[in-house]
This record gives sequence, C-alpha cells and structure tokens, in this order.
Amino acid sequence: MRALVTGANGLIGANLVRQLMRSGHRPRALVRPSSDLQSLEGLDLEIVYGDVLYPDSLIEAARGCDVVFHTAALFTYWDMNSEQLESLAVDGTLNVIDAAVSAGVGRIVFTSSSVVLGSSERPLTRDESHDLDDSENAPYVIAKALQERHAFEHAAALGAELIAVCPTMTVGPHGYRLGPSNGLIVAYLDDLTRATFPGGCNIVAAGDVARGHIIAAEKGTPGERYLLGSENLTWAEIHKIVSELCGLEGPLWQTNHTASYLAATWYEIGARLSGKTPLTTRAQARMVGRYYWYDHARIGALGYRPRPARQALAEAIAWLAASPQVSRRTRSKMRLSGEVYQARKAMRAAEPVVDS
Amino acid sequence: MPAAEVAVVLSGGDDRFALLERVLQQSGFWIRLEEKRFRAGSDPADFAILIKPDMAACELTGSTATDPALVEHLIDLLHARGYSRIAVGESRDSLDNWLENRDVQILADILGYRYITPDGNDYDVIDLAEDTLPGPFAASSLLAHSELARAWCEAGFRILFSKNKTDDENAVRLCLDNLLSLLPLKDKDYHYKHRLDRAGVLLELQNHAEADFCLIDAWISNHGSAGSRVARPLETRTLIAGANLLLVDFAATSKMGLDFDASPPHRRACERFGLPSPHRIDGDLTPYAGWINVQPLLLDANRRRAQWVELDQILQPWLQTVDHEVFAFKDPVNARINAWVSGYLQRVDDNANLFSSLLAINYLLAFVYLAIDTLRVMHWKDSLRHREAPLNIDIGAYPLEAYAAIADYLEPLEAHTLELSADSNGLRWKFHDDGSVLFEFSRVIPVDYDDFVANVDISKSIQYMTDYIGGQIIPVRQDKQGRVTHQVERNLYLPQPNYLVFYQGQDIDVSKLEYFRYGDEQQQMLWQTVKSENGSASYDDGIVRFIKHGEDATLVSIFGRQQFTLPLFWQLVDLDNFPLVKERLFNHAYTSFFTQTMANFEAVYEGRDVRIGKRWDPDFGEAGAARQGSPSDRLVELLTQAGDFFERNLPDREGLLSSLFTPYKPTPEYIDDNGFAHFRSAPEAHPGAGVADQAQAEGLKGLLAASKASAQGYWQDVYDAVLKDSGARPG
Repeated sequence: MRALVTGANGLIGANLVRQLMRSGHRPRALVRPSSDLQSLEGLDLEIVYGDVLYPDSLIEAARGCDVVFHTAALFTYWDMNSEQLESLAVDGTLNVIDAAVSAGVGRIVFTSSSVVLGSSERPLTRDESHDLDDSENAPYVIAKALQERHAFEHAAALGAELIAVCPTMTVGPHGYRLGPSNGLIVAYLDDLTRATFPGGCNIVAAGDVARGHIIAAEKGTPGERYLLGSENLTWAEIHKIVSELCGLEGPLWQTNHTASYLAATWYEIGARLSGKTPLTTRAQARMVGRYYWYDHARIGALGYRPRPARQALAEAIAWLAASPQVSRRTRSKMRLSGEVYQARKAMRAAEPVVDS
Repeated sequence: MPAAEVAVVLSGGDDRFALLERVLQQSGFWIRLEEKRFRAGSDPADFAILIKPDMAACELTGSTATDPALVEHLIDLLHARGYSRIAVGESRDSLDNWLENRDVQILADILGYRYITPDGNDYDVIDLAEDTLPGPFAASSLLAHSELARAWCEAGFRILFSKNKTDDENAVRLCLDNLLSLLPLKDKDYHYKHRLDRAGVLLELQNHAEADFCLIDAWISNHGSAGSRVARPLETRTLIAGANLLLVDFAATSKMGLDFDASPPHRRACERFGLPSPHRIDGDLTPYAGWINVQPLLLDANRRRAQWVELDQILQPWLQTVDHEVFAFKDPVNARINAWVSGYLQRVDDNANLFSSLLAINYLLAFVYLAIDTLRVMHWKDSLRHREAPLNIDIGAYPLEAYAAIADYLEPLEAHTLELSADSNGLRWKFHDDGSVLFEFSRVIPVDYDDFVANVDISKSIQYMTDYIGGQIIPVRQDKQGRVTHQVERNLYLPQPNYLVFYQGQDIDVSKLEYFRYGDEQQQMLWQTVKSENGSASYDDGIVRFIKHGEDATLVSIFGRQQFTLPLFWQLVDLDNFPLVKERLFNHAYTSFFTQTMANFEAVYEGRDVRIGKRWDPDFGEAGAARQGSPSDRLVELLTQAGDFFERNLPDREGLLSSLFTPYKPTPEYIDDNGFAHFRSAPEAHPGAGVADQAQAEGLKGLLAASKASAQGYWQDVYDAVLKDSGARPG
C-alpha cells in the first residue's frame, strides 16, 4: 500500500509511518517546510513538503497513493481560541479531502478524537454511537467535532471514501512536541505533591493507534468512525501505574475541581511569564472529574488488539525519561522499573530500517 | 646579597613632566630599559616598547584615566634616547556594552592621545584585542585556552602606566587591575569578575604576562567611596614608579592610607608572590591630605551585592557618572535612569543619609540575592551558574604510585563496610573511628553491561554525581586502548545536605587523585581527596564500580569515605549528643544523594545531560557570537515594551505619567502682606491632562471591557468548581 501521511512528524504520524514501514507498506511523509523532523530522523522514508492549509501543495503529494492518512492536527488546550483551531482543523481536512479526490486516491483515513464522542459524569463507557453534549466547551473539543462533521459532509458530497478514527489518550514515543497526552504524564512527574484527580480516561499506546489506522484503512467501512482505545482507568489508577513504573511514591492525594482549576491558573501565569506552554491548563482543569471512557469493540471486530494501558505507559515513559520533556530535576528522582527498560529495548528492536 | 627592589614615590611641584623625569631616573627605569634591550641584542630604534595606560574613563576630568600628556612625555623621553618603536595599547571593556565611543582609537582620541607627541614624535594607539596569540597558561589554569595581546607578548619592554584611584569593590584600582586589558574578551565584568575569579585571573596575568616597569599617575587622583564610578579628583601631585608591580601598588596603597589586605586581588597576589626581598620604597609615604577611601562596610556591601550577576549587569549603566556629551548611552532608558541615579552617587561622601541609604540598599540587595541563591540551591538548581574552578594541585607532585596506592587504602575499608547489612534502599553505612562516614550503595540497572559502559564513561563518574556544580578534570595517563588510568580532578558540589545552605554551608570543594582499573566484566574508579581549598572536606574518597550482572544488567556500586566540615551552627549543636537524630539525618542525606546519583547514571546512559546549573558562555559579548541578551538588555526591552503599551493604550500618557511622578505644586495667585499664599479655589486641570485622543480612548475602553469579561468568566469557573466540589453541581 502506498500511503500519504500528513503530520508525519507528530506523535501519531511518526508512529504511523513506522508501523506502515514495519508492515511492508510504503509511506510518504508530508511535513511543513518549517517542521521539526527529529521524530523522523534515521528513517528511510520519502518526505514531501507541504501544508494542509495550502491545497496546491497537497495534490502532487497525494498522487500515486492508495490511501491518505490525515493525522495533521494541532492538539492543544493552550493559547488558541475556537476560531483558530476550527480553521486549522476544518479547512485543513477539507483541503486534504479535495486533494485526495483530485489525485485519485481511493480512501482517506483521518484522525479525529475520542473527545467528539463526549464524556460522562459517571464511570460509563461510551462508543461510536455517542456524540458531544453541551457540557463540553473546550475549543479543541469543539474544533474536533466540527472537523469530523464537515469532513463527512464534504466527503459524501464528493463521493470520497472517508473513515474517521478516534484515538483516546494516546501516549508513546516520538512526540517531540509535548502534547497534552504525554504532557499529563510529565505533569504528574513534575508535581512534587504527586496529586491525582477524580475521573478517568482511556489510555492507548501510540503504536496501537498507528496499527488501528492501518486496520481502518484496510478493513474499515467508509463513512464510519472507529474508536482506537485500550483500557479504561481512573486517574488514580493511571497515576499509580506511572508511579510504579518510575519508582516513585504516589499518588499521594486526590485534588478536587477547585484546586485543579487554581493550579492550572498558576501554571498558565507561569507560562505567560516564561513564554512556555503550561503543563496543564484551565481548559483541561474543567474536564477534571469526567470519565473519558470508551469501548473499541467496533474496530476490535476488525482485528484491532491494543496492548494494556500499563504497557502503553511503560513505552511512553521509556521515551519521555530520555527526552528533554522530562526535566533534569524530575529525571534525577526517577528509578525506572524493569518494565520500562524492557519496553525501551523492544521499541529499539522494532525500529524500522534505519537510513545509514 | 642582591640589590633591593625599589619603588620611588615623588610628590610636589607644579611641573608633572619634570616630576616624571625625576621618578624615572630615581627608580632606575633607564637602567632596566637598557639592560632589557642589551639582553635582546637590539638597537634602540628596533626595540619595541608598549605602554599600557589606563583609559577606563567615562568623564574628562583627568582623574580616572592616565594623563595622556604624561604618556606622550614619556614617549618623547624614550625618543630622545633613540627608542622609536613605541605603541600605546588598550582594549575595550564592559563599558562598551552600554556606552558609545568606546572603540579604543576613538576613546584614545577623546581622552587626548594625538598619535604625535608635542615634540613631533609619532606613536601608535592599538587595540590589544585585535591581534592576539595563545596565552602561556597551563591546562589547569583559570585562563587555560585564553588568548593574550600579541603586542604585549612580543614587546621588548612592557610598561604599565596606571591611574591612582579607588574602587568601590576592590578598594583600589592600580597596576594589577590594569593587566586585565591584556585579555581580549570585551565584557570583562562578565568573564573576569563573574565567570572567573577576578583575583585569580589577575594573578595568572601577573605570573605569565608581567610588566617590565610600572608607573602610577597620581598627579590628579580619583578618590571617594564611589571609586571610579564617580569622578572625584584630588590633586595629589605624585608619581610612583618601580619595576615590581606589587611594590609599586603597595606604595600607592600606602599613600592612600590603606592596608594591602583591603584589596582582595592584592592580598592574594601578596600571598602568592610576596613583596620582593629585599625591597625599599624611596619617598614620602605620608597619606594624601583629604583622601577618602571606600568605607570598609560599603566595600563589603558592594562585593556581596555584586555577586548577583544579573543585577550587577543591570546596575552597571546606572551606577556610573558619565559625560553624556562625549559618551552617549546606547539606550535611552539607561540614560534616563543613569541621569537620576548617578546624581545621588556623586554626593555619597558628602551626605551621611545618602551614604547610609546606599549601604542599606546594597546590603538589602545582597540579602535578597542570598535568599534567591539559597532557593536555587534547594529548589532551582538549574538556575545556578556553573563554578569555573581550575585544578589547584601540582600534578607533578604525585607519582603514579600514589594513584595505585589508593586501592590499598580503600579496599579494606570497603570490605569492612560490606559486612554491614543494607537497608531497604540498599544503603550500608557506619561511622568510622575518626568520625568519618563509610557507606556503600549499589543498584542493578537492567541494561546490558557492554551497552552501559559504552555509554557511561566511568572516568567522569564524579561529574555524574548529584549536585556536581563545577571543576576540572585532567587525565594524566591512558592505557593502550585510550582509556584513562590516572587522572586528577577538582570538583565542587553544592552543600551536602542542601539544607545546610541555610546555615551558610559552603560548596564542597575537593581535589582528587583518581585511579582506574578495567577488566572484561568490571570497571573501577578509585579516588582520594588530596586537597580541599575551602576546608569543606577532610575526606571525600571512594570507589565506583560497574560490574556485569547477568546477561542483561549492570551492577553499579559506590563505596565512599566522607567527612565534611559542618557550618558553625551545627558544630555548636554537636549532633553526637543526639545520636538518633544524627543517624536519621545522615541516613536521609545519603539515601537521597545516592538515589539521585543512580538516577543520573541511568540518565547518562540515556544520553541526557545530568549536570545542574547553567553554563557560562565563553564567547559572551563577542562580535559574531550568538547574542545572549544580558539582563540589562532584557530589562530595557521590557521597559520599552511597557512604554509602547502605554503609548498605544493610554490616552494622554505624558499627562498621566507626569501627574503620577511629578508632585503637583500649585502656584499661588498672590501672597498677601502677612505672607500667606492664596490659591484659586479649584485648581486648573494639570497641564498634561489634555483632551484624550478619541481612538486611544476607545482602545482603552475595549481593553477594559475584555478584561472585565475575562475576569468574570474566570471567577464563574472558580465558582462552578467550588459548586462541584461541594456536591451542589454534578462533577
């Protein structure tokens, strides 16, 4: 299979091109000229330059491909309003669909998000039949929901085969820009008080999300969306696993909504002064207490078999611990477990052909 | 008995040129010059002479820089004796960061150097930084890899012609300080005050780039508590000369009524080199009448405050009186603040309140810095600066056998320690007979041994230990495979445990011999402390081992013997009286130290940099180097941005600012016969408060409305969160 991957240098994109290479497919990576390409370093990979907001750059990139994986997105809860995020998400996706159709690509798989299926106040599991409700108002969530709706409408109008995949909280290696998912691990490790919070989410390994993309492309039904998740856990359970994998005590206490919001305010003020991205934001603090629990049975029926959340976290920590995203101070307090070392070893062994 | 080294102090009269001729004659200048030329086998016309005057002036009062007329007269005298290859040299300094016209040739021109003497003799003025060569400094020197001015190094005869002045941090600024210009880096405050120990740098220069003759121009001197920050001339009508720099400076400080100890660089130089023996000072050493030295308390406060690097960089442009006509400020913000602050500085010796205020502010800032530094040691280690400390032991004094003998000393102690059972963290420790601590800590890292040793260089183990903040490593010998077998190292750690910083605990500063052994399945590093410059440790010896542990793991073990000097408070408390407390404190300290150190070994294997602190930039301030904004630059930028913001958003900015900062002083309408002043019942609007620009007003209105909405939204969210926590609203 010849596949174009937009946003190939991002967390999901970089894992997807690796998975495609491992599976014997021929990925073509689309990145912006200004992109940081560390995540693709050493891969024997065709790289083309373009931008999903500039349609002219997309058609040539898509020509000759059997499928387009549109993973390019801006996953952030910081410093972007709804209009900016919508413009990037919706316009970019419509451009990619147009380009794929013009280039004669048979199928488009675009990376949506589990957040478009909403969340629950109680520990209930949601699936592809659910939708966003009015209580969700984070700009990123709204932008993703609009993206998906417009994408399906546009594809239907053009007669294109469009499949949406909805990853849950995706953690793993090769995310050189610290996004909110890996960021949640880093924030917990950086937090000297080792606080957890109410609610929960579904954790999945970036490698499994990549495999889910390929399954969707090969076996999915156009017009459908597929949840790509793994285990549903409470935040306390997630943080306990992180602590165990990093040789730390914790979580030591559970924060509440008010404390989370005030802490996020503090992080945002720090970020404004330092010019850095905060480890957590007020938009994320508003999501505290909710359950982002999902069931991936639909794609499971097509052969999707994700690894447990613990394995996903071990892989993410193996990579993060060696990256500058975990501060020197935090790293000096960690004692990585054997599972993390095993995960690191396995990831190295699975790294596809390296360009010498 | 050798002839006594002489310094000559001559004073009086109205003719400074005649005085110069006399002091040169009496101090043996011409004899020295002839001897040096004779040894060089050179004709006078070919014999290169370099004169290094002091040009660090910001005003043209003649008190802070060497008098150019005296320098030119010296050139004429040299010409009269056939010496015609004469140059005057200077290099730029930190003043160039914020003042215009500090290029050497421009500065020389401004100060009065004319490239041709009154007698019509040509000479050149050269920038000593423009042509340099590698300095003769050892690898273990503070100035290792530093360049030196070629003109100075290659001159047949080198003359320092310094100014006689006080200094607000070092008490005096004389010939020793004048040597600093031989180094090419421009930002001398950054490199030779903050990055490197200034006194140490000057000592290295004195050792390796000594002048042949030293003169001090004290015809008009600069005195006062502000040092050369303020031009405060005093006609002292004195010239001092001699071949020995320290003796000349000693005579100059004596004339100021100062002890050499008042100046740390001079004290250190005297300790290292000593005054020549025998020596003699000819002339009257009665202190100058009316001379004001920098008050010792103020000196102390200034030195403490100046340790705050960022603040010091910000303050430099403000705490210097400047002739704005000649040396314009590069930035108007600095110019304005300088105009305000330096006015007060000028009166510091004439106004007791001002002096007390300056003292109090300096100590307050020094205290704030101490508090910040304490927090840095405890919590913000990455904001600390690395310590640049060169090796301070003589490598040649230790034969190779001394390295190998470390094993004989340590291994029995290690075996003794291994008899103890380890606690739950894997730590074994006990007090040795002499009060030192023996400990052993090991951990299995699940990484293949060959992979581990390929990525973790055992010869750098000390640097990987937690809280390592600086030092120097010098390999002495390597094996056939290029692996280090013998090594010397100086290393500095933060106070251990860190909380000792609250009790004025100092860095652990130890110099060690290190010995290495390599086997197929094991590597060892053994070290023994041979010196602790600040007396912070009696013992800091140990062994690090990397051992193959099965197929996929490496055992890292650290054995050590330590005894650190406790701060006075803890010496008085004497923890031996509280054995349980002592045991717990030590247990906690060692467990946390080695837990973090092992994490560092893991992190090094991962390819991470584990060193705490920020690196100094060795090219800071240089043209072509990546520009690193100084705190001063950043502050100016911030103030400029704030100004732009007001410009854009505040109607009638000037009116508002003037109403804020200018006390409103209404003018009386008339004064009656009884002396009462009468005012209008309602004063007119302040002159600045004109009609607001409509567009600006609208902009401000919008800004305020948006801020209000944002604040309301914020508090609504907080309210919602509280409701959720109280159960009044579902989570």
